[in-house]
Formats: sequence, structure tokens, C-alpha cells
Amino acid sequence: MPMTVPPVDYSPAMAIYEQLGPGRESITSPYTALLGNTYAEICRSNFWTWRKQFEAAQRDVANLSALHPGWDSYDAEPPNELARRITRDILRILEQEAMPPSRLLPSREGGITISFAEGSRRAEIETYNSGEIAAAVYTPTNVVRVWELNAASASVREAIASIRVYLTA
Amino acid sequence: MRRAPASGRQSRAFVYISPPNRPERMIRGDRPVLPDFDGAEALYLRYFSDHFVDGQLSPAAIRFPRQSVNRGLHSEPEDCLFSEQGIYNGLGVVDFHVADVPAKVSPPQGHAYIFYLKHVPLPDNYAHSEVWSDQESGTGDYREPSKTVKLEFRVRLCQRIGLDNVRIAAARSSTGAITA
Repeated sequence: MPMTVPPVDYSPAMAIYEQLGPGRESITSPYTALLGNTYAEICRSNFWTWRKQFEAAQRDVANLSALHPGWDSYDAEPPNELARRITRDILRILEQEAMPPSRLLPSREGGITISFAEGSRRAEIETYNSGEIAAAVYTPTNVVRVWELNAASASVREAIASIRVYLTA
Repeated sequence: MRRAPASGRQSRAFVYISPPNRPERMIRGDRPVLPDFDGAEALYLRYFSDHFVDGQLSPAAIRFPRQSVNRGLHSEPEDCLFSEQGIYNGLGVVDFHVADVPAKVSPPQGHAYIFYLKHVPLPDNYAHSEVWSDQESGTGDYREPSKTVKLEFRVRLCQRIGLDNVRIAAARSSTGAITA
């Protein structure tokens, strides 16, 4: 004989979801205040900030497929599927390494530029329509290093590590 | 939208709209190619609003070889944005000097490359010029510079172009969004 159990309402008290304005009180205010503060902390946390940045960057890469030849007002080629795929892979590694870029742009060179800036220290990783990848670290007055890397995960991780060390030195 | 002043340093609040008629100074006519560039001569380049990262032009804004620029000897910054169809409306113009173009890039391995300006006038844009390169050895056996040589050249040029070099502020991003 099947047992019947009265349904249990697991949903939290509605008041928890109330929008609280300054000075507003409710009977659940101790919990809402706690949850409100926690939620604000979560939203401010680096993890979620970076997560949003990387989601936006992945969307940006996808949107670059809409560019047409001559998109730059001169005669640049738009980033092709190869450059976009390599960039998506690099962004995934950057996310694993918790290292969000400052900017992601289509390059007039034919590809995509991933830029990093930390004070006066800067770095670029460029993926090209040819499948090549180059990186540079520099200051406003000095080019410290420019090098070529390949699309293999180890090579990209090594470049990211070098860039991180340079930017945070 | 207001039209920016005809020349001079301009506020970033302006959005430049091309006039309907081409300025007379842009027409080449019978004028000759002028091969010599003075180091102090200004060069003008179109850019997008997202091309500045922390106050410095991104290498994404530069292509190589044959990056087109307008030479300042025979043009004004707004000539870069002239179009009967208004296709450059919302873009901006930065200036830099001939002397800002890196003269030479020497990679650790391989040939060194030299860089120079070439006046390449067009029938409707006399000031049109291009940045060219050649191997320093001058063997005539020209080979395209590697990506690392090109990137170093582009980075070194961008190091010379900050917000002070903005002559007409861009309002359009490289993906078409209006940001002003």
C-alpha cells in the first residue's frame, strides 16, 4: 500500500525576495539583510566578475563573425573561423587561470587582439587568420619581449604565465 | 549631433559628420608624387572608439604592411573621414609624426627590417600615403616580415600614440556600436 506524505513547501519565505530599500523593515529583515549582504558580496567577488567578463568576451568573439571584409574602413580581413576558434580556446585557458583580459578587439592585421594592461605594463596576445599566434609584453617606452607561440595548450599556458609574471612584477 | 570644428584639437564630446562636398585640397589634379617626408610632418589615421586601451592606441588599430595614412603636408585631419556616403561618420582620427614610425626592427634571429613612408596619391586623395618596409640588407630579395616583427613594429608605433594624439574623437566602435 503506497504511503502518502503531505506535500512539503520547500520554497523559502517570500519576504526573502523582497526588494529592500533604505530604512525598510519587514518581519524577515534579519535574514534579508544577511542574504542581501551575502548576495552583494557574491556579486562583487572576483570569481563572478571574471565569469561575466569571460562570458562577454566569448560573446564578443562570436559576434566578430558578423564583420565583413574592409570592416576597419581600410581593407582589413575580418577574423576568420580559425582565429576565432583559437581565441575561444585561449579565453577558456585565461578563465581557468583567472586572468581576464582588458580588451578583445578585431585586429586590422587580420585576426583578434587580446589586450592586458596593469598600470604602465601591457601585454598582447594576437591570433591571426593564418592560425599563427604572437605575444608581446611592453611598457609605454620599451618593448620587453615579442614571441611566437603555437595553439597547443602548453604553449598558451606558458605565454599566459609569462604575461602574468610580467604584469604583476 | 553637432559638427566638429574644421581643424585643431577637438573635444571628445563631438561626433564628426562628413560634409557632403569633397574639399578641393584633396583632389590630386596634376600635382606630383612627393617622395620626401620630414620627420616632423604629421600623419593622420582613422581609428575606432575601442582602439584605446588605458590611454594608449592598441596594436589592433594598426596593420602592416601598407597601412594607409594621410600626410599632413597636404591635408587636414577631417579629410580622413570624408565620404560622400558618410561611411566614416563616427570614426575618429589620430595623428602622429613621421619620426614616430619605427625606422628599424631587428629580431633576435633573421633579417632586420627598415620602415618608411611612401607617398601614394589617389585621384581624390592627394595626401594618401602608406607605411612600407624592406629588408635592411637591401638584397632585393624582399620577404614579408614575420608576425613577431610586424607586432613589434605595431606596438612601437602605438607607444607613440596616446589620447593627446586624438584630433577627432571616435564615437563608433570596431563592431559598429556607438559609444558617445
